[in-house]
Amino acid sequence: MQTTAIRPQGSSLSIARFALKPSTAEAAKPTSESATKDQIPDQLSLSERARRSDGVNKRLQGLSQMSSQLLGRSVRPSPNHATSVQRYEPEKALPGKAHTSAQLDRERQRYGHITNGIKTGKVQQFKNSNKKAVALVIEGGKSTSGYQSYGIRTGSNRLDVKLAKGVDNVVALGRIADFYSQQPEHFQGAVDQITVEAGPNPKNDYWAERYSMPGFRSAAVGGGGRITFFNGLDQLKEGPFNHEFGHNVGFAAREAQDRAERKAGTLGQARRRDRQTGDHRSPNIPRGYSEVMRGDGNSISSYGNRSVGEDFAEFYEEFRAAQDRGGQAVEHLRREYPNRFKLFEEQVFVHWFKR
Amino acid sequence: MISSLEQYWRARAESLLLSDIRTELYEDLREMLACRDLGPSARVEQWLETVEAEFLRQYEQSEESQSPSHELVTLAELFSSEGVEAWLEAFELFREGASAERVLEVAETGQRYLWVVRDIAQDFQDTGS
Repeated sequence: MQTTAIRPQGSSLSIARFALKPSTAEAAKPTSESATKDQIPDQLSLSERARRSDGVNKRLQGLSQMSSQLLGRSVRPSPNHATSVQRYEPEKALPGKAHTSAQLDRERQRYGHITNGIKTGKVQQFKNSNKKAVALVIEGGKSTSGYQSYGIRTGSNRLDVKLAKGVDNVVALGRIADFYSQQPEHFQGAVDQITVEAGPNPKNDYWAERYSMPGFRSAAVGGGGRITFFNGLDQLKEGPFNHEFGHNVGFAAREAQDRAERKAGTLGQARRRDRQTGDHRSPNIPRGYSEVMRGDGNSISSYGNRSVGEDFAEFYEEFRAAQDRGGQAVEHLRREYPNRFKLFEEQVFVHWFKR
Repeated sequence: MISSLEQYWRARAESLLLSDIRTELYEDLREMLACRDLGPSARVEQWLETVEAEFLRQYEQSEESQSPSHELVTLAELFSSEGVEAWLEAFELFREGASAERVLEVAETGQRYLWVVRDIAQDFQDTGS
């Protein structure tokens, strides 16, 4: 587990958050100094008092260290994000009111290959946002209990897509096919189902109340080969897609590592090591990621600071964005995060997804 | 009878804002609950096992340490024990399939008391020695 030497937020010196008025609280507080005096009689020699005080301090620091090791690093919420798997962007809607009928019409026109694919079930060619030519087949379109189910087949990968009633199927499938086809091909198998719910995450109110954050809305959740978007097309956009995809890439890489360790008869040993390095803290990171993150000694984003799993997903999102921007952006990423990059490029990208 | 010192620190633990005491462990638990809700996962079970084992290991190790007679030490040990027990109960509830809200509620209690142990130690260092 990771340890920390930071002074915790809300430590005893700061009483602003204490329920009593600060002055009252301070006055009412039986200080540890007076407690120390109660416990260490005045008549003791100075050296004896110091010795006892040292013992008390040592024990208290030991207990404090245990708490720190168990709790892990402090995670202060950033104003734009909330839960860890859930992505939260309450103030970031799609730019320029994306759902005016004119915009949706333009998107539908752009996704003519989807309309044809749904109608005919035959192979469709299109160019994704990276100008890469893609061939796909749209399968299904069955209606089942409030959803329409489709399959998107590209190459040897197949993606199940469930769209809640009321979600525009052409636009949703068009965006998903675009974002999905931009993922490195050998990563595509990391996700096998994407769901788009028409409504909000049913737990939004709970989280809003719990965090005293009115307007809390989670955009998507991901893991274990699945991604779910909430609020129809509102948050079905490239950044959250790549972030959630990243959780799944991390998950798939770790699964592959576990399989290899199991085959070699060293899985138990690897898991014990995970506990020392901190890799056991998230299922959605490749083994070794906690160490390289510490090696870089820097942060990807405030959201990434929340956990090692989020750091990896944020790194993946950055990696994808850098790929889109080209060579210089990729080199910049390599310079900024050399250890993460090395592990990602040499291990995840090449080794664990090699076919 | 609860001492005024205990009363003070308990009130302090209860009044901490959750947003101020969130840590990696708490975030990991939420991530795992979300993973659990997406479907069965061996990885989630593995996480539970390793974190639970870590709690037990750290706690047992802590219990073996020397414990000088002092009210603050007694209090910090009591809160450590309550914090660890609450977290272990949260893990148990997780396994039993309790709702995420319920699991987090219990974990939050553990979070508060383990957090306050650090505050007690810091407070002693600042003013008690």
